[in-house]
Amino acid sequence: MVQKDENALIEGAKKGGEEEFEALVLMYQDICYNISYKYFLNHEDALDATQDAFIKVYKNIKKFRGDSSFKTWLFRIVMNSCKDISRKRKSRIQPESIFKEGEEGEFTLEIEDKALSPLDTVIKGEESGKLMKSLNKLHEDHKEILILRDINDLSYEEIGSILSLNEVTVKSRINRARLKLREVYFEEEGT
Amino acid sequence: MDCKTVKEQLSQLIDSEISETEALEIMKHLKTCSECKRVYDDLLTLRNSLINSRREDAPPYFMVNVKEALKKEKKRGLLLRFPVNGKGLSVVAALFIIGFMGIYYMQDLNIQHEPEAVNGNLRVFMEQEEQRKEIATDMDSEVVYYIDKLKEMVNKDLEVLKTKIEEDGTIVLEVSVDGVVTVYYGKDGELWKIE
Repeated sequence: MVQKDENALIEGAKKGGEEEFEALVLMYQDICYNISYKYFLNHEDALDATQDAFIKVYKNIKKFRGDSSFKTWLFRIVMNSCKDISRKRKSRIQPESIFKEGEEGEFTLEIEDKALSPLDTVIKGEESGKLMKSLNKLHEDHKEILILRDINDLSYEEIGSILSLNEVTVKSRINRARLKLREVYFEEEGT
Repeated sequence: MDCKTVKEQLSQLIDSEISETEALEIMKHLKTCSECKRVYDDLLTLRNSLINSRREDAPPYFMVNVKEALKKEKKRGLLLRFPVNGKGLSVVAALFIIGFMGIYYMQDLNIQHEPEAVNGNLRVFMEQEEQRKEIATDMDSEVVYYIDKLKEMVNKDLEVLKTKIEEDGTIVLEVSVDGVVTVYYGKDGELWKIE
């Protein structure tokens, strides 16, 4: 039923229906904002990226053919908007040097040699803030895939569609991203 | 199964994106390898923490911002919404011509002010230029407004054949709907046709 309503809204928006477009914005604004916020960890950039994404949707909705779901198509636009804004504001989002190199082939087992204490409890409160900061320090490829998978609970298939990756790459990238997050999180803890 | 292979597949195990056989093999390894088990526990905890992290909703004024941004885009004349069939291109071209004619027409009307610029009063001249551009853009927006209104009214894809702005500001739209050509007039927010 929801799907049918959404399709009707998309068709309406394609014909220039402002009301239909606004209804789509209302449906997705929170989840898109959450993606952007987790990407930037600040409201100003999150607002810009989300707004920019919806303007792009308005301009391009006629090009949406329904090959993927609307949600997937929209999230791809949101992610691209985040990256565009991030590029424009490089000074604010600077991954540390160790994450600058390409993520392919980065997987090492160095973490085995580190004296890491296990995380026994669920991280809450200020710990969650630390986790978000750690996430924000990851390489862009790792950060975006964890935002999609762990924060927005998207399937591997949906992530593949959003990021134009095959299933094998999605699997390995998610794993590498989580291992890096663990590493950065404990580095933060050590400082 | 060695530690490297296990660690490469821990996330798939956590996300249940692995075959039962592989899952059993990894679980078997985790029972005997404390280091891999520690990594597995950490990844699981971090994953759960991300899932439970506070959701940030869009601010209440978000929709207003989007509407304002769209309005600005439209005013700039960048957004012209016509049927996908490409016939809209002729309308875009027509609007550009109207825009240029509008600017040209306004320049003609104000030609007596140009010597001010020549005499060094550049600021006044530039202000007038801005004003002319705004008037021309507003005229475009008005045409777009009536086309959108007409589309709402007929509720069908339509092809705009001609657009014209009368001296009294009436917008004239010659459109084709299902092959039938009709002329509509728009002014003061109203849209009508002469039978």
